[in-house]
Amino acid sequence: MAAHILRHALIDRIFHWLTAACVLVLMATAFLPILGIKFSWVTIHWATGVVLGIAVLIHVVRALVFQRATAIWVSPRDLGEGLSNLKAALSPAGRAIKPGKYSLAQKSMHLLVTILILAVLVTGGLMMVRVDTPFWERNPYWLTEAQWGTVYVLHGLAALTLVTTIMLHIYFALRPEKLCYTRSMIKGWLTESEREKNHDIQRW
Amino acid sequence: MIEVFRYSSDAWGQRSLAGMSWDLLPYFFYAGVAIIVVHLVAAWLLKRRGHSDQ
Ligand code: HEM
Ligand code: HEM
Repeated sequence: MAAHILRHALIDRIFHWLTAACVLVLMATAFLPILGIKFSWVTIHWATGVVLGIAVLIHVVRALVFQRATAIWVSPRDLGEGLSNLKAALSPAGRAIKPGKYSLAQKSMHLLVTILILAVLVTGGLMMVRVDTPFWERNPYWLTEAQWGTVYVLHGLAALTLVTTIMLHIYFALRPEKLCYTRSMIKGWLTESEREKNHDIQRW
Repeated sequence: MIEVFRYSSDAWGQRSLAGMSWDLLPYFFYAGVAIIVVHLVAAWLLKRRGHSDQ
């Protein structure tokens, strides 16, 4: 095990796959009926949404209190680094700069997913007022028609954007040069040489 | 023209906003497919030019 470097702790890997499963269930329950496969989806949908909400809450607390939250947050320096790396990929004259623990692409993916998931959580939470749950009876008059319309538009727009986002996320996870990260999200580790090749150890 | 929003009409026939139009779903799906194809082609071209790690 000497040459193995931990990238994702077990608890974080469990969080990733639990949230990924929730998001895939939420997308399937929302979009299959739209594609013509009808079933009573609303209860599975919001119940999965509640599980996702609790998992995200725990993740946020853990990231802010126990982890280095800035490691995955996009900073101005990352933009310069990303630009240099784009130039280096396109011309031999460019100089590639190794990122710290997360590259600009990885940080951007995390930021986009954060925004989209918070959007569906907040709007979905509001929309639960309009459906019968064990906690309350539906109340369609809580907001005006126009306000509900806006909430549904935001939920739907974030849901549609997630389709494109998740497709790209899975594509990159399966690319040969990124497979080591997929292993790290399953088993936890990168090898010493994988880290050396792709990351600046000083800033890891 | 493709519809961007869905509308519903109430008992008095007044139109109100109901949500996003699901006609958009294929566009978001094919946008994903298009970006993946462009990336595959770009990565292949760069590899041929000898930048090995992209
Ligand atoms: C990946 C995340 C999610 C996706 C892709 C998604 C997608 C959708 C879609 C497409 C609809 C139909 C909206 C419409 O008719 O305009 C919907 C409805 C709904 N969603 Fe979500 N959603 C997600 C997360 C959530 C979460 C986290 C919650 C709850 C906390 C939630 C609760 C609801 C509720 C209550 C409805 C309304 C059902 C109705 O009015 O009949 N959703 N969702
Ligand atoms: C089911 C297929 C999926 C696969 C194969 C997959 C794979 C991965 C891998 C390998 C990483 C780690 C990258 C690294 O070590 O830096 C990662 C990170 C991440 N995943 Fe997923 N994932 C999947 C689904 C999802 C879904 C559905 C979501 C949406 C909630 C998601 C959200 C994230 C986020 C926010 C990160 C951190 C940012 C990043 O490193 O790119 N993943 N995923």
